[in-house]
Amino acid sequence: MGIYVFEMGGLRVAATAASEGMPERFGCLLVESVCGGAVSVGGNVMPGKDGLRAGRDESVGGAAADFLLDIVFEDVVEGGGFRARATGANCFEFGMRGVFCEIDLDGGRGLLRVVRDESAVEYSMKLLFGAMLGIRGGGLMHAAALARDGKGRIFCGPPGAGKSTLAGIASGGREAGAARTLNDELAVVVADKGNGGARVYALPEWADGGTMRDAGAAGPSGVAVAAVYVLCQAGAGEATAFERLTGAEAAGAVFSNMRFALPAPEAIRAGMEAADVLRRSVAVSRMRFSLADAPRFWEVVDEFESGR
Amino acid sequence: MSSRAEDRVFARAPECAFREIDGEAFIVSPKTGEAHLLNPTGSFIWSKLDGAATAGMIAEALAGEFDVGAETALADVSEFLDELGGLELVAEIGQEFNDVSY
Repeated sequence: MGIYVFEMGGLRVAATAASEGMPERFGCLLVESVCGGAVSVGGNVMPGKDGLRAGRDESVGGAAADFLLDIVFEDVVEGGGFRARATGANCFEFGMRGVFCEIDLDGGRGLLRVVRDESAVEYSMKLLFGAMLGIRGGGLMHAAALARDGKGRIFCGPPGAGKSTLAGIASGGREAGAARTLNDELAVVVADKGNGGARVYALPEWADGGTMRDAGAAGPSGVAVAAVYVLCQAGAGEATAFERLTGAEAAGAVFSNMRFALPAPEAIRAGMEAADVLRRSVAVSRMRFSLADAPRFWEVVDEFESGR
Repeated sequence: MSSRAEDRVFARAPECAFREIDGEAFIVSPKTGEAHLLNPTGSFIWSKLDGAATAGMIAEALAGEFDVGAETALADVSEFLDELGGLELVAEIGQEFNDVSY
């Protein structure tokens, strides 16, 4: 039996899986592709600065998990098409090809039956974390997340909006200072109900060489979010422009950029509530970004945020 | 089904999710998960969709609330409900919703 602990957005999932059914790279694949902050308390793998290394992380061993997931690997799982339904208050089951999962978010328990496929496991774990975050006023946003001067900025938008381009500009220019890209595709954002505002957590991906990009850049407690920007590209000849969004428009924009939400009405409503919580916790604005302003990216952002 | 615009009755899609914030609503299509923002007029009409009120009754309420003529209000209500119907967020009573199962 292997026991793995996965952390995302301040949440911790302990997953158990029978060793004999485990894909060869099971531990690595989850650490690599699901949540870069993952560690193993079972002795197989844990992240180091330069990649995975064997060992046991005493700093987290025995710590309480927010969720306990039993993983059973099967040769065939009849999960059908992608679907989900509520089976009780904050209880869901979801399925797709090769996956069937039952989760009790309040009880903190779940069972995942899955084929030995890395993508299926990865997607299932993201759905689980998305659901856990959703009932806490957060979620996985389709966004580039950057940290600068201890504050996080979220730049969300559909494919082609310029997230990766912007992340490269914002963290690479001479005036970027200490700006770091936490992730240029997916950001874990959670309302900070205790202190107000919201926090963003790193979701590192692995570069080809096997080293974690900005591993733990946001730290275990995340970074306070200064602003959320809904990104789109400015037209030819247009300067960068901002528009503050409020009310339902802001909440709708946040919701539209949430990913890995379960397609059940109850989960959708929880996601809408989370979007409402987030837009009340942090300023949401539309940003029409002009590449002509790339050299002075942070200057433009600072001007807007300071009201100049 | 009546052919008179003012007698048509609409109901919200049963699985439709919506949230009202400061007088405006955003609703999510049960089939696509797509969010749609309603302006104050649309939100007002949406709030009146109880499965019993006719388009004429909703238009009358709209005319009283937003100071528009009865004819204009009915046209606006009909156009809006037809648009929502196209998105399968509402359906006219007497017509079946298309499959919105998950």
